Amino acid sequence: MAEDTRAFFESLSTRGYEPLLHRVSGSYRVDIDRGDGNWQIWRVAVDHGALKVSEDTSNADCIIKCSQEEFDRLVHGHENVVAAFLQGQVEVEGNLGLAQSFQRLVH
Amino acid sequence: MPATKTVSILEGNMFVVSDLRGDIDASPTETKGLFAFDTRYLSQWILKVNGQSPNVLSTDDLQYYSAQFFLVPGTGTVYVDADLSITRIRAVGNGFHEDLTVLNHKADPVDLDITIEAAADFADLFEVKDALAKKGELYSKVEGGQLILGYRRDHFVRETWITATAPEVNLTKDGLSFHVHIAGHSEWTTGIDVRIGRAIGTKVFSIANYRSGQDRAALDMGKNLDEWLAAAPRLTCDWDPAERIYKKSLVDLAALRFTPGIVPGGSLPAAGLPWFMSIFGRDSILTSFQSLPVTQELAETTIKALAAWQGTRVDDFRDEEPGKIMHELRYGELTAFQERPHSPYYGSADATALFLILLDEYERWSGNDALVRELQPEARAALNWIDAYGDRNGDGYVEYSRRNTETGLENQCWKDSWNSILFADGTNSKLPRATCEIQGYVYDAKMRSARLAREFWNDEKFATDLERQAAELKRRFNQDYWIPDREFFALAIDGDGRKVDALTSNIGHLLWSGIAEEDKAAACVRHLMSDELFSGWGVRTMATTEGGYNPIGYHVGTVWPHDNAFISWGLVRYGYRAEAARIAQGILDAAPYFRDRLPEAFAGYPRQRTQFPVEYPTACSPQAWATGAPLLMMRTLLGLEPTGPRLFVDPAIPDSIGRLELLDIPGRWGRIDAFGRGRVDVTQRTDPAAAREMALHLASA
Repeated sequence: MAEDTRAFFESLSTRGYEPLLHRVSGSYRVDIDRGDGNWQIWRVAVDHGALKVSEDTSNADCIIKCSQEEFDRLVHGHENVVAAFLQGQVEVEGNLGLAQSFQRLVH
Repeated sequence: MPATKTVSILEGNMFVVSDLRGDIDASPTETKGLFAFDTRYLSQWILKVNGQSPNVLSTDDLQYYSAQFFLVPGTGTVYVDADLSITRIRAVGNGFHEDLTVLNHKADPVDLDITIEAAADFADLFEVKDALAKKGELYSKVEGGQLILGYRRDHFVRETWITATAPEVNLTKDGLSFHVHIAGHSEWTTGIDVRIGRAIGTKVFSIANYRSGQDRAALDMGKNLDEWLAAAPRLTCDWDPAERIYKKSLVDLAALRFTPGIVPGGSLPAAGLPWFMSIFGRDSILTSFQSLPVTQELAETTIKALAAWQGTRVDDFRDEEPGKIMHELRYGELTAFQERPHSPYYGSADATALFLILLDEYERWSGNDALVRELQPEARAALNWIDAYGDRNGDGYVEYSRRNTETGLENQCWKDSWNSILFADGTNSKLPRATCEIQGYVYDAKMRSARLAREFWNDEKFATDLERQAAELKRRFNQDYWIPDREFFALAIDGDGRKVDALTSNIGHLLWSGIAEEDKAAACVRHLMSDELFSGWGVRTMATTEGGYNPIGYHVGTVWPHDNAFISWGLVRYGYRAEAARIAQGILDAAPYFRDRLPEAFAGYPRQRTQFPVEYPTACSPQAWATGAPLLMMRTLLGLEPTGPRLFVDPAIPDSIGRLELLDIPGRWGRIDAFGRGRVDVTQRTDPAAAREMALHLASA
């Protein structure tokens, strides 16, 4: 659900730092297809684990695209990013290694 | 299963296995095909000339990434024409490229029908192994000048795209055909590209851009291999096979390199062809460890990749726990749909300790302390896993029992077949199992981590704590695992708290890790060198005296080169140089029987009985840690030990090997040479003739 998604990204913003990403620097853009022609777009910039979240449509090192339903599955831990990517449920543009690290934000 | 000869070419996790003609005609359960990312992208690729399969003149696979097939038209019932020859030159790389050429040796022109039947079953490697049926839909179409073979299951789409350069090509849903006219004394040729693709969203993309035509990936690979070989130390030896074995190891290691997406630009060793072309925690770590005298790059990438994949949460399906190092990563359909847990799977009880061991050993060789400082959180998480999760019942030992009871691994040590951890009477032990070598690895990991804590993490207290824990583990282990009446360490302590009392090669790993007390180590060495364990070629995984012993049982009697390499290195640690040399010589003696490539395992028959080593039927080849074994053995024979900023050299080389030199060994010292002369007598028996020889040897020394 869109509210859950908002809550998830806001929690990242509150967290401010993710120790599991201490070796990661780069930016994500997450494009969530809400199914009614609308997209919810979030941007997460990571600098050695420090997180900066915005609702920004500018380009990023790694763009992750998926449906709202799929994003819910990832956030609730029903599926992991790797499996979803292999299955074609999640589309990745740009840095694939960064996409793999995204799992550590939704753990 | 009939033994059919195959030719394999590979690059990273992509490989082509064909018959000697270059044809692929795979049954559901065999491994012929074009494989990439654990998926079979071609299961049929059959060349016919005028309806007949050609006959093989010769096949050349001198390069790991390319092969050449020299053929003549098949005779069938009607003799066609012996004045034609056919060559197929194939190179793998993001699919494969094939140059098909037909030469007409006659003065008269000739008209030919040339066809290639093509089909793909898109089997997941797990399906090939277990013969499972597909759940999605296969299709085939000709579109935009290419033949597309495809498979769709929901959003999961995989496609194979086939194109040919010759204008005569006629594409159908079943393959390619060419109606060709070749003038006298001339030739006809076509390039054929087979590219692999997969869906990302609604579009299908080629996984990487493959440059077709003459300027293709193979050239880059050749250059890459040359550079790899040029960067490796040079080995010279009086005993001729040593140089060939060493070269073969280097080339195979190059072939097994795999670039994980998570560490751009780096490469690490995949576990083996054909089943295990992927990152494996244990296999990649042990192979990287073995390779340190030759290159430190593989270890660096392995460490970084495994750190990036380190477990972060408790997940029963993947056997994942915080701090745990993964076991295996896969990319096929069953992994995608979570019908298998390999995304990644964490069912390995030793990889976490081995990760720490490699981190320390890597720093000793490379001097890359920056990485050790950077990975402090990961190393601490690994140490925490050992105590908080690895030790499941709080008894101070790491034991395993899978969380995923459906598709998880029952045995999570290197001897991972279900029937490997047996009592002396041959009966199976109960889970959870705490195998002995894992306790040794934990001891070593804590001792090494103490050094890292003291020297790089500026945490003396943590270092002291780790040393105290390691000392306590060693003290308890030597009591709890020791079997006094037989004088060796139990293979494991099982779920009922019983000592699993079979005599196995695992006791050799206790020497590698240093957990065995000196007097107990001496008893273990006697066992390791006894006829019951030592076959003459190497130490068997299980002694002939045990109820479960089977000379062709995967982990209960065969001889594994990597196992022996680590045992031999362990013998060096405890000062048993002659014994170490004897094992190294035995294993190296076996290599020429396998065209200088040590197999994963071979049968445990006594050397005196068979005279030659008997290959284990379904083993991988090349297999990474078997490929690494000769490299660690060279280290053993030369006694190479990084000590502070220098490389300490203390050779103990069999007299049968003679002079051994390893020049330009890379490391924190820059480049250094090591050499030694054979002075160790490794004669197995002091029979009268041998004794005379020895006397002569001593007299002339």
